[in-house]
Amino acid sequence: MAKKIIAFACENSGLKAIEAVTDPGVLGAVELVRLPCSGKIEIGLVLKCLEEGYPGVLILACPIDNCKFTRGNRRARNRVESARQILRAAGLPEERVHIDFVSSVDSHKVAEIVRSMQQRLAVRTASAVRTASAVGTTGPAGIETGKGAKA
Amino acid sequence: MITAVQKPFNEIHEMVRECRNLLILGCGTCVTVCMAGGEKEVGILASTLRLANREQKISMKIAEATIERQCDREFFDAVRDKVEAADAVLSMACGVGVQFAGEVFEGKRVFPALNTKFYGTNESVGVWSERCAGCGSCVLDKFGGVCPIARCSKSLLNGPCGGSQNGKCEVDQERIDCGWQLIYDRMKSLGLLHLLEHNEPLKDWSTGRDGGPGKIVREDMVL
Repeated sequence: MAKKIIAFACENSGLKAIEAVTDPGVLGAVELVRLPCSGKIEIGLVLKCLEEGYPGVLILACPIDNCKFTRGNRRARNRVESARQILRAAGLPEERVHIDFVSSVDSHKVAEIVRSMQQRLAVRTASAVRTASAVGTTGPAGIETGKGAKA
Repeated sequence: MITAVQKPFNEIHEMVRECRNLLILGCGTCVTVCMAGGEKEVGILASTLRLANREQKISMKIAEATIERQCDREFFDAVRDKVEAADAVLSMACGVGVQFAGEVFEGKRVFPALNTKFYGTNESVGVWSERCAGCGSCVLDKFGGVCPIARCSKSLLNGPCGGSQNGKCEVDQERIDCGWQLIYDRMKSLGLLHLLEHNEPLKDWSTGRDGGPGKIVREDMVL
């Protein structure tokens, strides 16, 4: 079974918001990890999750200027930007890592964030499948490969 | 400490593209402190390489290790097996560590993952700046502890040039303080401005890079 989006949620905001979501489609799409503060997220951990096969990494932080630990959410934002820069530099799709800022009562907003991330990742997966199938029909040297190719 | 930054990813990937078994070797001293080549950065680079290889369908096994220092022979013993099992080592040490790893493991290719920058200080969180140029004959006593060699873009020893404006250097007025402004301010605060009236003679640069590769031999320590 395909892995879910992994969501690292601050226990003061994003976690409460996502726990209040009732849509089973949203809840079933996410594997949830509780963070004491979004500032605890690490670039290495984000990349490790992608390496382990999670299609996307979502970080749910408190609204800017509303972090219990003053600047944890800004730290998380900077680290997510660094992780996205690393992906860009390596020619990988940066939309696999996303941060959003929500309060504990924003369950409707969290549901929308998850749905739109699912859509973005689905578009990317579909385009990757199309590219792979195009590669599969004609090999690098113009030799027919895949189904229907002559032995 | 010696400071460094990671090379652009594409440059690293091109260097190691042909390897089938790669060891990424971090260094636990200076480059760990400046967050360029420690255990954490080894993990990040390893993950990035694995993801990029998967995307480009490159088959490469990547092992990770970090030793205390790559500029001392004794610390390499802990990773000897891993190095021997690898086609090549991607060292995340400074230029010293990269070269020394190659000397310790003769016949093993060692690639640099970092660009070594300067001897610097951790000025504030996430900010490092140069303080010493390793000239081999320290003059800090004469300039209130502010180095004109490292902190003046032209390494001037007898006052600022015409490119000093509002305390900034013409080389980069946003980023670089005028070294001579710093020297003046420091000497003034120490009540030692009169010492700057003394003319500094031509410096003997042969004690530094101009004298060729440096070497120190402590006869009392040599076995």
